[in-house]
Amino acid sequence: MLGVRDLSVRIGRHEIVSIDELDLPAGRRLGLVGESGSGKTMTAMSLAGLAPAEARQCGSIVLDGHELVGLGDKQLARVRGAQMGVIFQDPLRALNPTMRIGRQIDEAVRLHANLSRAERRERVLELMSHVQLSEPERLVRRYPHQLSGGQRQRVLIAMAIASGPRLLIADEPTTALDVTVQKEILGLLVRLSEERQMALLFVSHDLGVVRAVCEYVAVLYGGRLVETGPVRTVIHRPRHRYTEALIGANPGHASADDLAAVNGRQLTAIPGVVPSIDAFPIGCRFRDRCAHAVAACADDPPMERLAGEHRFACFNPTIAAKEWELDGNAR
Amino acid sequence: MLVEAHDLWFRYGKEWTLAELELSVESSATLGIVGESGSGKSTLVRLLCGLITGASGTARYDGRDITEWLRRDAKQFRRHNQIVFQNPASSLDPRMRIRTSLTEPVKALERRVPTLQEIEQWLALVGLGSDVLARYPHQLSGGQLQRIAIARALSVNPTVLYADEPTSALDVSVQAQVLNLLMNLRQRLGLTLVMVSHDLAIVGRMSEQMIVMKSGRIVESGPTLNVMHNPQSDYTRTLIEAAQAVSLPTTGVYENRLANTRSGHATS
Ligand SMILES: Nc1ncnc2c1ncn2[C@@H]1O[C@H](COP(=O)(O)OP(=O)(O)O)[C@@H](O)[C@H]1O
Ligand code: SF4
Ligand SMILES: [Mg+2]
Repeated sequence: MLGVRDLSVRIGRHEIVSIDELDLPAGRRLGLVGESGSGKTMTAMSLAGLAPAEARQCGSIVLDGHELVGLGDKQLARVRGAQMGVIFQDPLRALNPTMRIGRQIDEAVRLHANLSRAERRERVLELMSHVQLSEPERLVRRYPHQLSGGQRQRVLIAMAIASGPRLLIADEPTTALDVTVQKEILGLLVRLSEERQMALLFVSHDLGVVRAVCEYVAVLYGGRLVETGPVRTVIHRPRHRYTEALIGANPGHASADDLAAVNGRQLTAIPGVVPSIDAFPIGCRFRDRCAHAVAACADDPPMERLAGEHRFACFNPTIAAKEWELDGNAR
Repeated sequence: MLVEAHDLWFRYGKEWTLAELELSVESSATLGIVGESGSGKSTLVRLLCGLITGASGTARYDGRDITEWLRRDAKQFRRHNQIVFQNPASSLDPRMRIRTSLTEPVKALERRVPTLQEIEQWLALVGLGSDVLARYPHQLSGGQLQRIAIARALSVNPTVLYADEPTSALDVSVQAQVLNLLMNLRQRLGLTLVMVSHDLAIVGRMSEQMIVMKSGRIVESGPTLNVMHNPQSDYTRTLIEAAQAVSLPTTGVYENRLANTRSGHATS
């Protein structure tokens, strides 16, 4: 469905995305995770053919048989329109504040199909029910500010799936929402992806959210892919020190027992901040914040391949993983 | 009790925003307030720290009614009760250098100009250097701004620090730094911390006592671990499920497995 090979995106002197290999099979869900400034949005935009004009790409991005690298804007727009829907973090900004909801969804429908007015109206209501907006007849007459955050995000999802895309790109779609609303929206995205065999490229700074939604995860830092694999493997047995650090920084706990162990205790925060694009260290870009850096880390760590599509690039990976390998051998 | 409310009601307009609230916070305790947006969390803490008035019922700080504090001794009250908000950018004036914003509370509440040495001490408390002083808010990151908001609140040596969704606008990793900072400061300074969040994972992790709010009412309260282990209301269960849906199996991987073993022994 979506395949990336040796992708490099540069703006000026800086390489802002570097990915050797990444695949998203049809109908599957892949999470791009990392702190802000780690290059998630840039990566997602490049994969969507939405990289800024000044960005220079080389390598290969194949979407459903079409090579995107090197395509002109018009051709890109055509491939995108037919195959891809996009939703962003802030639904209020993505919607037109002066236009009724029904009209906005209708415009998305009109872009992709030549239907009569009555048919379009039917289609709008149908899309609204697909995203579980209740009382669609009443809601179509509302303006964006009259909707709750969760309803607005559902409207955006309805617009994004109007073309029947095979790939949906969602950039931090629930960051601004309450956890209870978040849970519903995440559930909706999973259901839509499954029912429509629609692949999902899901961007988030929160590994917990990625775990809830995705089957695969790609961890990014400094625009580079540092670890990738099935989400369970990567979260239970991370190898890269950055992945481990992201997990440690998460306040979430799976059970009451976990909570009793950590209540009132410090989180294992990642020291420092993500540097600006021109200030990453040479070699492993995480080196200046990594508690496990060794001399070798001054070079670029090569990608290592483990069983089950699990890959990582780290010179001094976690012990937990080594222990796991022993477990595996023993079993 | 340091902070107390009995049968507290409040409304902005016709509808009651807060109803029948009962609450008490011991000195040096950590109280977490959790609930969805619109449940009244911010209204409650704004009332308790005297930013809004007009509630009926009782709200006391240090044994004295808060309205009375505000009438007789507002400055003293504000020195004792400080707050940081979700969006530090909005609580810092974009046209003012950090140094000016930072020194405002001391100027206003203590009627004096703090020395550079003092200012540097506040910054050191929150892990920042004096290089930020000449900057404007837009030149700093969300995490840095939240540290500055915390330093500013601490500049008057408060007794209670209210934190209203202090990390909701931050990345998970920056959030961890800020939460650690708050836990640290609380211990070092003996602060009473009242922390509001819509995220049960944060309240569950940070607080000893917690309150669950829904539509302006308290649906459940008690020691955090009791509430989390044995929630009494359906609503609390819903919140717990929502938080667990996006939790990670363990925090801190290897280290945490050890922590679990230890707690397993301790409780069994
Ligand atoms: N148009 C651009 N021009 C120059 N640098 C950019 C541009 N867009 C993003 N960057 C830089 O690329 C890096 C990654 O940014 P971004 O993709 O926004 O990460 P994230 O989504 O994780 O926040 C950042 O250092 C950012 O400053
Ligand atoms: S390569 Fe080295 S610096 Fe980079 S994450 Fe691994 S141990 Fe840390
Ligand atoms: Mg981003």
